[in-house]
Amino acid sequence: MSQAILERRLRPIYDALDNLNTKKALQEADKVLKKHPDTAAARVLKAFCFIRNEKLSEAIEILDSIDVPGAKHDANTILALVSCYKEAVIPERITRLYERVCEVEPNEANYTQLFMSHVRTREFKKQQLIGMKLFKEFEHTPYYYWGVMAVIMQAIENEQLGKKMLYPLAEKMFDTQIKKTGYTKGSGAELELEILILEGLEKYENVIELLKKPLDNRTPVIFINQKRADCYVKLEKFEDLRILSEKMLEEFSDDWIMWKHRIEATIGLIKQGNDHKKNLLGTSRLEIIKKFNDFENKTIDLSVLGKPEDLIFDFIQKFYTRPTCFNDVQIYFPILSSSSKSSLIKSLDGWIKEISENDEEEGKETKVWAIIVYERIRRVFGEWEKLSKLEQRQLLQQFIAQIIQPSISELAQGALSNLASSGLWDSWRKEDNIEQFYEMILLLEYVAQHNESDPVCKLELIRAYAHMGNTVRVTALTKSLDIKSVQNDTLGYLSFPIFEVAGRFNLAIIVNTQLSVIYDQAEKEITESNIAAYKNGKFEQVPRLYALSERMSKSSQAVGCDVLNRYLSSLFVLDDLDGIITTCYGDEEPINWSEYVDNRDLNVIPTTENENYQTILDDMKSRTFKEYIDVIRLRHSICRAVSSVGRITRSDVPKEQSRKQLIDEIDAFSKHLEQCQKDYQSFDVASRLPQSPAPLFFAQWIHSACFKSIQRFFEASKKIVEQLDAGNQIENIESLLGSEKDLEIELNVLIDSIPSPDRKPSSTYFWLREPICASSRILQTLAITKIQLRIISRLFGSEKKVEQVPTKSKKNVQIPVKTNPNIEFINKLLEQIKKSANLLSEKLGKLIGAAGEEDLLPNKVAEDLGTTRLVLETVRPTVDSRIRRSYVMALEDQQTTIQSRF
Amino acid sequence: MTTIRPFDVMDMLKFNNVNLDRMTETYGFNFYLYYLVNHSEYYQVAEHPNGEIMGYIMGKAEGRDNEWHGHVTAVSIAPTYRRLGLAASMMSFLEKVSEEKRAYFVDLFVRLSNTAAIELYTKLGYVIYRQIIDYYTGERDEDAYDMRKSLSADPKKLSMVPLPHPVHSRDIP
Repeated sequence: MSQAILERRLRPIYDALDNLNTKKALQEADKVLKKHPDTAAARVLKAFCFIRNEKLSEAIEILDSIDVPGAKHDANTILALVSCYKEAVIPERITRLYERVCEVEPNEANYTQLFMSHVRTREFKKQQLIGMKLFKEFEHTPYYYWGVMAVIMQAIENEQLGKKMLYPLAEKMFDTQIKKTGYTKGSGAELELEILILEGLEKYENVIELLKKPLDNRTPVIFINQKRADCYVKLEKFEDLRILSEKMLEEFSDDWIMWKHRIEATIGLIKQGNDHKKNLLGTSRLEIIKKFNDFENKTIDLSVLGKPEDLIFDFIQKFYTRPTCFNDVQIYFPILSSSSKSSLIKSLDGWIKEISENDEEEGKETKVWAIIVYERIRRVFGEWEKLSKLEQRQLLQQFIAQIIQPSISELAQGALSNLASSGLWDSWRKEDNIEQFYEMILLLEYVAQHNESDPVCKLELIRAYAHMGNTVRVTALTKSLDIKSVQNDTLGYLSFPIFEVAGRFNLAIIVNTQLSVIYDQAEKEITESNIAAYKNGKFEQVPRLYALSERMSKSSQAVGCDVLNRYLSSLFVLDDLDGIITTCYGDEEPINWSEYVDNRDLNVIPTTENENYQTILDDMKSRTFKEYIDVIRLRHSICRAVSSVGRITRSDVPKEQSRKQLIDEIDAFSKHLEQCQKDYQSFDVASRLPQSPAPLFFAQWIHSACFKSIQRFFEASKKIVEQLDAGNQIENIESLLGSEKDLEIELNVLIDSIPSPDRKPSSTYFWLREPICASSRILQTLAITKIQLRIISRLFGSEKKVEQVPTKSKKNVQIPVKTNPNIEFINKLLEQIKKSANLLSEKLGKLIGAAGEEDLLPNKVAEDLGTTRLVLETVRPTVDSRIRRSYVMALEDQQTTIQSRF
Repeated sequence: MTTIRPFDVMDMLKFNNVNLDRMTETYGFNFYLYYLVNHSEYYQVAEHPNGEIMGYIMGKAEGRDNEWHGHVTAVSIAPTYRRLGLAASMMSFLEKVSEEKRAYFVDLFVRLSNTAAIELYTKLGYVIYRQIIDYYTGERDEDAYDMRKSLSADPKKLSMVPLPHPVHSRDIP
């Protein structure tokens, strides 16, 4: 069959796949196969459709029958096979495919593909072998350098061996080839490779020499000089560093890195005994003082440079209208003593007075920016804390008055809004002032409505709403910020847990699925870029791309999405018990929890706090990361424990292995729960900082009675399996599982613990958030125990019999054959779970009624803010109704779950 | 003070303060990485001494014969770091790189609604060469201006002579 005929036949399948119409693609594939059953490419494309439909086993069956040793495939079939393996994320099969293809057709194209498949699987040693083989066979120099790059990657992977053996080997290989073929003019590929080797060998002198040669026309001069400067630092060649940095600063006086090098050169020269005075001239004086403070060389008189507070004040006077002015000076606050700070504030007080008395040029906004930088500094220096309550409110009033000015620029409005919200956030964080927290929401909503370009007010709103459980508004704000792609990884923490906390499980699954797609995409796209880097000779990027790939695959957010999806799907979506067991089990490989990395960008909401705040932020970061990993791990261990009981009934799991897993997984769950109960004693929300992630309410969950029946059923499972394995009859299952009454009491206590309209929690405003979260977790308990009982029932026989118990609505269903008494007893427990679920639903109904109560939201808002209060009042009705609506939606969603699942 | 340095892959994990701007689009990994492994010389980041990304520029060289030109794919500055002349300085960097490649002109596409950017490019010597209908699609459908500035290889500035009529996005390569 000619290539053209084959392509014509396959075209409709490809077209359907391109249109994401897998069903049609499958039909087209079947059409081709009916007429031409031997068309391997059509069969592979059929497998591709199966993969897209998540029918992996059917797909693998087809692929295994085609991708066999010795088979000679046409180009279409190979391409389709590769697409299948990429789609199914099994890159190692691509390698095996090309190994086989190369045996049958050892040509350049196939070996190149084999090399690239090793790039996908990160097998550097094999890359080296294939790279060198390609070079020997086809005498194309770039292949040689692919092999050298593979040696460098091995050196990076194994630091010790790298220094001793691998980098020297790479150097030898490189030198041999470069002597023969020289540098490719204008390419830069050889240069990048050589620098990687020389840096690995710490031969910085050679790097400098190399950079002097005009070998590369693709790297801008500025970047080459930065590299040279780095080498001078490493070699402590401070005079050369001074000359280079001064030359660079003549060309671009704002180049910070060269300023730093210039100062580094000065300090280095002083340390080496040179005259420093000459060198101090013309450099950034504040940076010199900062560096010399670190240097702690008290013998040097820095008074010639001036007082740091005066230098900062001079800078502010010159540049206060720039939005970055505060950021520019903030980095020097640590060098100010408390008296220097007082002196600076005094100078600023006089200056702001002067500015406010002067006339402002129209449209210049000088006064507003002066206020912004002035108040930011006052806040950082703790001046706000010294204000009386009345003064604080007056300051807020002034901010709001500025914010609502029709002529204000969006940039200034955003900065003022951030300042105003910082103060209000403080009142909530430090004094639990919920009214002011609500004022902040109203103010931020006003700014969000009137300011299209400021993202910070929306981010702050997401953060605040995540705390109170307003899932509707968080979704809308996230959408309006157009957070996507890699941002889902770095900003996912803003909203990740809120749908599960609110019991909106379907939404949680949808959001997590979207998030999970990012990681699959990332893996594929980064790998393909790495392949392009090899092809383009962009060797400098290769290690960085591997590092990025690692960072994405080990993202805590990635594992969080995966686990939460497995957990919620098993509990609330899947019906088939085998499907539940498989989903709960997940991947075969154990998860190494310590290897996950924190990719959260927690700096996205700016801070204007005092210098100790960074310590608080760092503490928050590590605590919330630990909590995040622990909550994921707990869900994972629940899933694994559930599946371990289920796998006892699986014929495809070896008996010994399944028994060992049963013990190990249940023990792992219990131990982890116990450890978490010890580690998370406080019921308080982990952190109320504006930069904190959305709260997980983990302590509330693990200290609730949600795990009582779950643990009992796990322990009972172990004993039942032990008894059954020993060939014993289980006479008294009630003693293992507890009585129907026990379960009823236990679940009723749990449901009763949910706050209700007549028993509200101490903090009454937004109080519905608490019962919504509590009932979400109780629903999860009910779902887990239901699965546990279904699995235990299966240990005694057919699970189908349990499922066919007649219900009131299906009176005509045939009554099942009498089963053994243990199954009957389990059925009664299942009935009890259903009753409890209905009881929970009734309670949710009462809570829905409470969503309209007036005292759900603060009533005394902004009463002391004069006319500015009116502005907040304009947005209040919408904000109020959105919050109430969001609570109602969460409660209704949970009721729907009960109706459909219990 | 600004550190100008090449774009690093890890910058994608911390460029939110730039990309949350409504005029700045966030793309998939392959978009950023394509430029990194194909046109890294056109890819530059400005970093504040406090470690924050202030802005970035990315572009490429493309076209043939007298259409050989530098293209500004994206130039974006975080709100806090505006009014420092950073965008102008980054544009100048891209023009220099294009000069070294003997490109005839530099061009860029900009939303019609982005008046601040259009004003900036005009100040930098760019002219509206043509309007492209339906260039931006998605959440906010909008036309674009194709703005151009001739380089020294085009002394008569022929590349900057505006087209009399708009063109549709489907008609441009």
